[in-house]
Amino acid sequence: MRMFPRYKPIRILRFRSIQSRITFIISLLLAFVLAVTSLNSYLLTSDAVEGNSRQYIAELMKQVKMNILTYLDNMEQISQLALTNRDVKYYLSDTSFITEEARRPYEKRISDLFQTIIITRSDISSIMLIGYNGRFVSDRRVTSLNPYADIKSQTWYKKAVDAGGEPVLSPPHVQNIIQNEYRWVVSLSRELKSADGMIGEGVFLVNLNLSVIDEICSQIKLGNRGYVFIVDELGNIIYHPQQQLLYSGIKEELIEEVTSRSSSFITEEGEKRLYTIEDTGFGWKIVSVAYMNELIENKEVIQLSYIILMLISIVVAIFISNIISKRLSHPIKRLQSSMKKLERGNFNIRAEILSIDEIGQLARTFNVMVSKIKELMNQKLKDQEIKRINELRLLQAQINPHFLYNTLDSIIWMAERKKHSEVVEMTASLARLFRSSIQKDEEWIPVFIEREHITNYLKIQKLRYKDRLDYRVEFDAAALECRMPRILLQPFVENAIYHGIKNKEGMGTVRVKGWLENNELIFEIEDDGVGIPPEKLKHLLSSNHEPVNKRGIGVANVNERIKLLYGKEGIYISSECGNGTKVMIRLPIRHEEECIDE
Amino acid sequence: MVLFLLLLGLSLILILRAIFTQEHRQEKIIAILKTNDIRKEFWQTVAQGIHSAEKEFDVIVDIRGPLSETDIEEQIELLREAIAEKPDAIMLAPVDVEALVPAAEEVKKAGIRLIVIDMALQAGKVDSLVMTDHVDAGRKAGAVLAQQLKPNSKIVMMSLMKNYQVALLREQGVREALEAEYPHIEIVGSYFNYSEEETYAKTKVIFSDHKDLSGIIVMDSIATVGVTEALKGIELVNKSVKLVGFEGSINEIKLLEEGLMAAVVVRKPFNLGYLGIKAAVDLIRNPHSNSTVMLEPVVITQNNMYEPENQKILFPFVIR
Repeated sequence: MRMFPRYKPIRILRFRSIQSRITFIISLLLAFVLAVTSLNSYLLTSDAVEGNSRQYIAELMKQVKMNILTYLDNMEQISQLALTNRDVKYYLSDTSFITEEARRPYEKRISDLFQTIIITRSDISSIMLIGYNGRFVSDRRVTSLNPYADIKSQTWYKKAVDAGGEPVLSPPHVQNIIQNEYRWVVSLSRELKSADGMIGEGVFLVNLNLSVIDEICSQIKLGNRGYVFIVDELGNIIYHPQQQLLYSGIKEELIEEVTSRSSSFITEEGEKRLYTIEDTGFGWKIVSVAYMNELIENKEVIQLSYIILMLISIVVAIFISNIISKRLSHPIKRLQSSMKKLERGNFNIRAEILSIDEIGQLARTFNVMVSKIKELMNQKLKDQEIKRINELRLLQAQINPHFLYNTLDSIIWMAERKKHSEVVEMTASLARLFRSSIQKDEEWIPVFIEREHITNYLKIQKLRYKDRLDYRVEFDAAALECRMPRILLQPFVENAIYHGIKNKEGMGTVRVKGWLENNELIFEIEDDGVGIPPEKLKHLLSSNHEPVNKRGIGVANVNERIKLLYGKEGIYISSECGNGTKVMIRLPIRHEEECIDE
Repeated sequence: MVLFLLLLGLSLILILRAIFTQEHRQEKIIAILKTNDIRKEFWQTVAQGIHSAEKEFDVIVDIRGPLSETDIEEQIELLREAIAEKPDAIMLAPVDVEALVPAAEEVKKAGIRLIVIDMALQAGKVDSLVMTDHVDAGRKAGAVLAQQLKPNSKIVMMSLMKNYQVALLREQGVREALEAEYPHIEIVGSYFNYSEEETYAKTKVIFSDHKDLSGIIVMDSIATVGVTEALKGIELVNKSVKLVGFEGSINEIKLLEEGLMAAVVVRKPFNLGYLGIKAAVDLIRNPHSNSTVMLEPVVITQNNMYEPENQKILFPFVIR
């Protein structure tokens, strides 16, 4: 049993020419290879693109962090400056002054210092110093505090007091302590300690314009729709371009996700987005949100260019494979057209040998074949011609009119002499002779029929020539059932009588023998007549020699018949002038079953 | 043959892709605000909301508006210009709910989607509406005032003529709230004036007529100036008279800080702009997504004014 069912070959893919087959296979192969490599490189490239954009965003976020940190560091440096300033220390210290007037120059100097800082730094909106003793200095020469703003309840103040000297950062808020000024700021505040560092004496405040952070964040390009926001460690939003919407509950941000993670992640919620988180190290987390389809926008272009490239390559591949297959199949086509001509019967064509490869060899072989066929055809035609003539002759021999005339003449002559018994014998023999020859219209006959035939013939001749002719017919019983071409012996017997014995003085004897020997059927026709002169004997068997007896069949004809039927010569004639002639015919044994008419 | 078909299919995909990528063009929306004056923080914040939505939905929004909040002619003109440009949608914050009706009809006739924000037009059909619920704002103002007053108190309402339509809606809200929850509070009167000065004068007159007045609802921030100036002049009453206003101007913020105003009812301009564009985008991308969005007003008092979400509303962060 077969393990697998045998698949029928796909019928759609039946090609009318080897060229289209080659074209198809090469194209298919190339297309497959191209598709695989294109897909592979596309995947690699798109991965690279995605990876690149991720990396790019990560780099960008680092940059954002650096920028923000720079500003915050500056604020801290400013606070450090205030911290170490002797005027500030002295001014804050509770015991320093007795009168208001004494305070003034200090106030002015500190205010000048703050002002200098503010002038050089456009990002700082205000610098303030609030002493626990109620003293207050800011960067403004004339400061009027908002009487309704309670400084002590403000976040930055409370945080600074709580932190005890460490700088603290407060989320963006509207500063309202300066009258008629409402600005969005980010505050850095720290408590200032007394000289011994034990007791807090006041709070120092630096306000950074929120627009600085807003600019940093909003200038980041993350596709068309990407944005940056900042949260603190508790998940409070420090900065978000759509903060109002978040507060109103119109939009939601993945605050929990962001606070719990520290690296980038992709959310599938709603639209696919890439969140990249950058921890600033002081509690703020800068988060960028990029829409994946915008990162992939680039990817689509790549995809398209790969498809176009692949299509072009396939078209080129088809073109090239067409050329290749044409080249390959061209000699085959030429050979084919030669064969077509041969098919139509033109045996004179020769295939041109264009190359020495397999197809060239094929063409050569084809040429050899054609010439061989041509030769065989000619041979066959010739053979047919000979056979036709021979058969005509054979027919003539069977009903040789002269023989018939002579025989009938003899019969008349005998009848006139009232030799009734001889007339009967001769007529009977003649009748048998004809019967035997017309009995079977076959090429091959059993030996005994030939024996009967030759016996009847000799009987007639004996009656004609009387004492001048004697004959013996001796056939081995074993040879009788073999087959032989018909009317093979008659020409020789005829020759023996007409040329050998008729010209001899006195009685002549014809001996016809047949036997088997060494797988051969051998006949011998022997006469003791005048014999054949050697020069004549020489030409006797060659076919171009004119038949000796124009009425009957020449020996050469018989020889040709044997050659045609057996493929080899089989007649051996030996003769001695005055001593008679001996013809030996040697034929390969043929039995009935081998002798089917061609 | 098979190969040919394969090629044909591939090129078909290619063509379809090309068409598809071409189809992804940015929709254009023209927003005509009440004013495009950069000094009007309310409308600048609306513009911020618009920009935020513009970026989020990846559309192009062109913001226009007359210089003055009362310039009806100019707004109609702007609307006609916008129609001629054949955008995908027009978002309109009408200066006047009556006068803009015919022009708005033209928008619809031109086959352009029309989204009206801030105030509903008096007549005609619009595709989507995003507005502050002025009646609700009035209700909230009425309620917050009533809570701070003793029973049987008397109040008045002061408005400016230029804000007539909104003032009427707010007044309706105040009346609804008082009738439903605080029937014992009496509305002595409702006054419409033409300017700050007129309001100032009117307030003085009212106070001389009604010495027992304990609450004022001021429908307009400009009217607030006149009212507060008048109250400062009548020193004896300024602390006992409760003032509730709308809009939340800087002046009103200061008054809140000072405790001169009991509350201010404010709109959310950022959300107004954002939701207006969102409605427009929804309409363009899905023609049957008509909607009416009512934005809830927020009551701001001295206590909650510095809470983060209220800071965002009261102090628009506008980069100039």
